[in-house]
Amino acid sequence: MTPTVSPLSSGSTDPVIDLRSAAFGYAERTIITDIDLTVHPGEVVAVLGPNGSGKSTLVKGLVGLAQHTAGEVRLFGEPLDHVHDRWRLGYVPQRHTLATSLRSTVGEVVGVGRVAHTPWWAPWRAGSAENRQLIAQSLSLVGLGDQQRTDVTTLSGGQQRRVLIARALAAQPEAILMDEPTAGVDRANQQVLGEVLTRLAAAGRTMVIVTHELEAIRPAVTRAVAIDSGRIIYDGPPDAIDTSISGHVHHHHDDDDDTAGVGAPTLTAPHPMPPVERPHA
Amino acid sequence: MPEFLAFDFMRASLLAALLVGTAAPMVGIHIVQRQMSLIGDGLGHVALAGVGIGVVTGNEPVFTALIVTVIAAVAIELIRSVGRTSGDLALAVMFYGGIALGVVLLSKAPAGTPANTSSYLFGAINTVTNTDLATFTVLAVIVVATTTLLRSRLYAIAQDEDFARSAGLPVVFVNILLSVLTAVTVVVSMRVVGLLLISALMILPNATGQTLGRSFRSSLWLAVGIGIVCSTGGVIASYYADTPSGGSIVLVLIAVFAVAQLGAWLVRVVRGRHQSSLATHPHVHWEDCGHEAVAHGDHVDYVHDGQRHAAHGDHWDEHGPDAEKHASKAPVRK
Ligand SMILES: [Zn+2]
Ligand SMILES: [Zn+2]
Ligand SMILES: [Zn+2]
Ligand SMILES: [Zn+2]
Repeated sequence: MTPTVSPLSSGSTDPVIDLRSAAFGYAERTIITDIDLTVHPGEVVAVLGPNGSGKSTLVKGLVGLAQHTAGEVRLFGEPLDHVHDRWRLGYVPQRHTLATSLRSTVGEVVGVGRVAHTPWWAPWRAGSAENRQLIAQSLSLVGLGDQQRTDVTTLSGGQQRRVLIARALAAQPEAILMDEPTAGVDRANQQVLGEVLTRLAAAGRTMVIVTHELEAIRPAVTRAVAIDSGRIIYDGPPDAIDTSISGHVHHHHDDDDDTAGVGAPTLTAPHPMPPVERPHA
Repeated sequence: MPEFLAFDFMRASLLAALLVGTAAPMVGIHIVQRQMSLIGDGLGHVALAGVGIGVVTGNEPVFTALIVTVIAAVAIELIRSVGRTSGDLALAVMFYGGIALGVVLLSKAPAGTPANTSSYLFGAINTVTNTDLATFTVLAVIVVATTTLLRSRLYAIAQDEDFARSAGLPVVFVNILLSVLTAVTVVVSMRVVGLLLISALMILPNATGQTLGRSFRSSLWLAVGIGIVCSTGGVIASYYADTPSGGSIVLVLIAVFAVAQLGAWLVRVVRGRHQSSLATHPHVHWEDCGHEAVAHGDHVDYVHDGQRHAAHGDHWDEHGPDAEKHASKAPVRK
């Protein structure tokens, strides 16, 4: 059987994500509280909110980078701390560069997605035909099929975002969480990213996409959730969101999203040219 | 048979150099990737305290150095994972305390012990005993085997620690293990290059590998090759020139690095910048962008306003139908 990057689905109809009065945060403080959210297989949910609204903490909590401090959290029908195969929930972190201090090819970075599937005692399997095929497929899905041997640092910012999505795909997750996949790239690249996400959505991918720019990804999205001040203020079809929440949005200056606090003051007004945000240290 | 192979101590020295030349770059590449290049230097300082304890208490210095350095390695990684700014000071105290304690203890060494401070600081390969050699072989094999088994995990964690955590990889454990492997490498290298020059053997082959390699994988194997050639070459040079082994090895490493840099620079100058890159190109071509895609050798051109455009790094090139020439001129093209 030829391997495929389509998700390794267990075939269950349990909700992918099921939150009841859930709260997430860090040791010192809770950032986001009392969240009720259920995501079913096949849904593409945009989670919207200004910087500091806690939407990034929600994603980090679900992938195990922030603490689950209260309420009930279930992934694939299991309580969060009982989920052993963490790769089932894919993750595209908010990162503005792939550069490290060492040379890496695009294929090597995407190969990181296969590491959780490769037992430590069998390192030769990292280069197996199956893994090579999955890496190539993931790159074709994001339109970078011919860039596998390219040095990642020579790619543009928009191409690097697509590499991060390919890395998540290579792990064969059942659902993917993305943290600001279009922030800090120019218009043309945002459009391509939006088309890539639409393509994944059309293939039946379950995705939760945190963003403060709905426009670029609107065609991919089946449902929008707006978060402000750590709470959900809207949950419904993406097209009704503009009128429904326009009165609720505040400006935030303390942010937990690791951005420079230059985010959109309103949820839906896109920047003519989005600000290039401070790269992670 | 070359003259130097006739001597037992030279055969032992070359074996020790081979072990160190293989193990040090394999650990070093992961240290460089974490931007912790000087950690080996710090652990080298601490190892001297271990040597001093061994000499004063009459135990084998290699074993006491191993124990002390491994404990320090675990402590360093724990301090680092907490991420407090005061951690920096804690490390400084540990490193300077280590070398100071070592110097003081070694000055109290019982008369008749062959150990002197400078042989540990700068290496004295001809003092390697057969017991040492057996120990070094076992330790080097452990280091090489562990880094080989865990390479993809070590790489993944340094590449993106958040992603590695989200995929369920044991980040803290793997980082502590790398720190311990660094400690073991320091002890194995102690007699060959000396505690003050150990970092050079972990870092410099990788610096050269980075200059010549095109991927993580290829630059690692280049670094290991360079490590082996330079450490054994340095030992042979030190035999003929009657110089200390450690300093000789490091000078050979630096010479190779300089030659590689010069070569890479010359290649860039000769190839020059290609003429066909487009100054402005606001559109992004990809499979679904609507422009016709044409296969062109190993890549794809897009037909755009009567020209053919191809992605080249972070910009776009104009390709004629006969662009083979350009393809060979553009080193980054894949
Ligand atoms: Zn070019
Ligand atoms: Zn186009
Ligand atoms: Zn074009
Ligand atoms: Zn071309």
